[in-house]
Amino acid sequence: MSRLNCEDARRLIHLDLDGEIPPDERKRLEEHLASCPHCRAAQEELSAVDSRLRDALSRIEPPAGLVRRTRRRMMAEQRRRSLLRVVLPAAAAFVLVGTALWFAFGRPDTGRRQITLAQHGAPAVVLSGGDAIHVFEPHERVAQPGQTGAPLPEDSVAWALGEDSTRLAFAGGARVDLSGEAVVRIGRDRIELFKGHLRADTTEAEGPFTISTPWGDVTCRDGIVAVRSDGDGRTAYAHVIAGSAVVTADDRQQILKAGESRRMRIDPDREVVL
Amino acid sequence: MTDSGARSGAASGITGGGFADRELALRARRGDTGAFDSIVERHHASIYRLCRALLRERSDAEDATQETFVRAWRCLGRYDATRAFAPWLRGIAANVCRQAVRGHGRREARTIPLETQLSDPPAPEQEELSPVADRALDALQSLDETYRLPLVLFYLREATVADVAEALKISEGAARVRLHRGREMLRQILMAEQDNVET
Ligand SMILES: [Zn+2]
Repeated sequence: MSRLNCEDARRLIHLDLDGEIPPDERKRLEEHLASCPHCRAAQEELSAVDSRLRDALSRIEPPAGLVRRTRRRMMAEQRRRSLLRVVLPAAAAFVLVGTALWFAFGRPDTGRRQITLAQHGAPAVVLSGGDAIHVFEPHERVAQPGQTGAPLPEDSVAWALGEDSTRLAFAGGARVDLSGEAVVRIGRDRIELFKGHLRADTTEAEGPFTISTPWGDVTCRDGIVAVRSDGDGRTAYAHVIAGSAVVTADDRQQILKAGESRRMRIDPDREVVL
Repeated sequence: MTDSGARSGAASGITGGGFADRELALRARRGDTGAFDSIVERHHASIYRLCRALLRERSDAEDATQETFVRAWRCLGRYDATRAFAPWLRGIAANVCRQAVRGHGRREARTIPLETQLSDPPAPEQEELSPVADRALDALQSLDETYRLPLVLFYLREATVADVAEALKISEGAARVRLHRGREMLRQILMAEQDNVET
């Protein structure tokens, strides 16, 4: 059997760590190591690297609930595979820089879920029940994931996805639960609803809170109000759960008390095409 | 937490566990979500480990893990059932992480007094890595992706050089060369560190 040189020995040390060294080669390596302190040192150090990596990786444990959250995200993802097109009118009520937003999901070639903004606008946020927040930076066409639970930029557009309702806590004390894949734009003491449902609890709010929609406006102070839009977007209903609310729709203002509802028809000037 | 997915036996490159995975994948492809759930159950730990080693941040790793399964589900039609499943899945995870690394730095959430409370925030993680393990993972981060990926893929439990090649869609020879070079680079880094500590 010919003697190994150091270069070959080094290769065999690695093959050994790969788990691929043939038995007869191992013998030759051992012979070389017995007579070469240089390679012996290399082997010791490489073995140390080997075990440190193995050890480091095996110590990583997945966080509790990862499987559940993954499942949930998959379910949400399946539902949003279709393209949603949100066309917002140029009505002054909606101070959007662009008139059209569109969100494209499920591009197979991208690493993260990407949401694309057709026109540059204010930052937008996509919330998905417990999964992730996606934030559009101004003049960015692609949303980047933000942090769950982190403060949202004011003036954000949010799309609440996921199985459960998503809760927004406003600085002024109002709490809004979004559901039905609600698309909203967030203001300081107001929220604009373009699609879906929301429930606003203003019992802890500092002042009046306004829900502005293509069907009408609902202002509530110290009460709880729900707004549900129907599937085709023609009609929505305001329902007061507690306290009272002022509803302005169809050119008519009305005060609703707890237990009362009002049907609101679409205002063509504010129409949102989904 | 089991981590016994499709795994290549060192000698043959084909496994016992592989059959079950393939079967599940084929069923999932026909729309059986329960079968895919089993896949998630079985592989989430190793995928998370892989993502965590590549991305370091827990939240990034979780996000990438979820994304891996979402993408795998979407791309199941492209899975070649004559081959092992785990390397295919890990290949997807590697890509997800690669892209995550590239997209990093552009994502800074801004702060304005408005908070969200999402219904199910991730639970805080119990796991604490030892300082030694932490340093090893840090050292990995300093390597170029060309070497980091094969090393992480290889040092996931029970992976072989063939698995690494399969996941990265490179030849076994290329995978081997990268592993060897990567190990040598890490050796330099870690030994230099050790010398610093000693002196
Ligand atoms: Zn030698």
